[in-house]
Amino acid sequence: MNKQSLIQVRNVYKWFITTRSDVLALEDCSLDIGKGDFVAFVGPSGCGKSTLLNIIAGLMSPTSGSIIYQGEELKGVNQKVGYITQHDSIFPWMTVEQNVGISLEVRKFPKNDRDKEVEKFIKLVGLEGFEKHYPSQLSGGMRKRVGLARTLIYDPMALLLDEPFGALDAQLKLVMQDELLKIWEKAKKTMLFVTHDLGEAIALADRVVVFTGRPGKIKLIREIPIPRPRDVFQIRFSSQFGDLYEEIWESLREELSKGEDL
Amino acid sequence: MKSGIAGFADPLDARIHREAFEQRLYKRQLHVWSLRVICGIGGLLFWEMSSIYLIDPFWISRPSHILLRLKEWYFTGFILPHLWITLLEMGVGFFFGLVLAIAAGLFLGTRKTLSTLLDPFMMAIWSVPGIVLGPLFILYFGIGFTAKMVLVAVTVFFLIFFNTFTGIRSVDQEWINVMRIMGASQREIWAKVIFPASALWVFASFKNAIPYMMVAAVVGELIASQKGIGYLINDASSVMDTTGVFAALFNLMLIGLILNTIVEHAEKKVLHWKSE
Repeated sequence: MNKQSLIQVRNVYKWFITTRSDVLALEDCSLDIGKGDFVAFVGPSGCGKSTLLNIIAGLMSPTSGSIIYQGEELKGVNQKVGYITQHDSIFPWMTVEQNVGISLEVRKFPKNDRDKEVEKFIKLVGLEGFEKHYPSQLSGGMRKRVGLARTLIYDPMALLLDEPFGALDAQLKLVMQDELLKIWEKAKKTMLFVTHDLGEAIALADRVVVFTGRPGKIKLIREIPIPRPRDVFQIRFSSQFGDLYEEIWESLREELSKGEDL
Repeated sequence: MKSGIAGFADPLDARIHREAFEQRLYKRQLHVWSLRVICGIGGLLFWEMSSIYLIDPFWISRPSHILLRLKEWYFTGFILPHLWITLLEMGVGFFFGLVLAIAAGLFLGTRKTLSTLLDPFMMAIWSVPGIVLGPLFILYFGIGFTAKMVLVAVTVFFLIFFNTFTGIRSVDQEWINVMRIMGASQREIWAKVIFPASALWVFASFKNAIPYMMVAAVVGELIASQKGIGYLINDASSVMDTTGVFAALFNLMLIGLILNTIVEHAEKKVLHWKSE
């Protein structure tokens, strides 16, 4: 067993039983994620990659198998992670600073420390001047930043990101990827990043995990040896990126065509 | 004020733009309001003329007569006890209906099994207009205040209850998940997420409740009463006094208008985050 691993996925199966049908969403998934790793999950939609993320977050339990987090089997909700989804799920009735501070409030931080931290993290994501604004007054990218600040502020060891930039336009996506990488390089968090964008996965991650179509199995784990720090704006033009893209795409494409009848 | 001036090279430009913008806004408001006044006066004038040249005012009364009647009612204070009792029936009924509806909505909204169990009953009750219980309540509580108050409470209860229930049911699970991962207790999830998220639904139901609670109070009074706007309507029509009926109706319109305005302002205050 790797001493450095933070998250170990051990033979996880997940069945979804509904009145209409029984679906095997995950089949025998095993994976080791080291501390500080940046791992991306790619696969056809409905392949269970988000399900695996939810299981690691403790929001769902596996039908069989287990998640070992910091050497202990995960039971219940995993409060040592941060969780960001495609819908920014920040609270529309709270201002930016209330949104960013909510986790500290929940964790019973004294008010003074909380205010200081909130200020720091709002600055970190570049939202100074918008402290009193409501989410409805912000752009999509700004809302993402609020979500990021809200999650980073309580210093979780790992961030679970479920297509966090899925709804953004192509340019904004690049900007946010760049910022995420910078934050990751500074804070050295463990990142689990679910995406359907292979380019995004390769540009960001140390390892790309390819899932098969339903049932979701881990088909391929590919190391991405592109040196860091990376420039997400330029990386796409390197031949190394192109070769990796082609190689992983080859593996992914079979699954995409299989997934079409879902 | 809040929307930034960052986009402009010269801050003065922004100020000029804002001034022009505010002027345009003001002008439009003025337009809308003057048109409204014209519509109102036009309508009344048309009515007045019709009652002079087209239709016997015995049937449709006449705005000038109605105005005189209202003046008389208000100046002699004749209408005040009637107005007061109807408002009281609505107010007290609304209060009890609201409190019970929110309590029941919260209770059932969080109990899946129980609400599934009760679902057909709720639907069956929902499909019956509460108003038809009027005669029954008169039977139970007599022809006084209580029967109408209960009728208003029941009507309001169902409207707000269903909205509260639906509101709690439709809180985005992702919001709750995020809070759970942050380590929030059940109580905090309620206070920080479920309540504010369902406030939207509860307020929407307030707006629906206003006309219905007025209908409940007045219909209750129409069935049997000795006081209230509904009583005035009944009384006036029994002696074929159409002017009296319309003058009473005017009071209802006024109540509706005022209540709607209050709710709208309250909504803006409470749900100020909703839009810019």
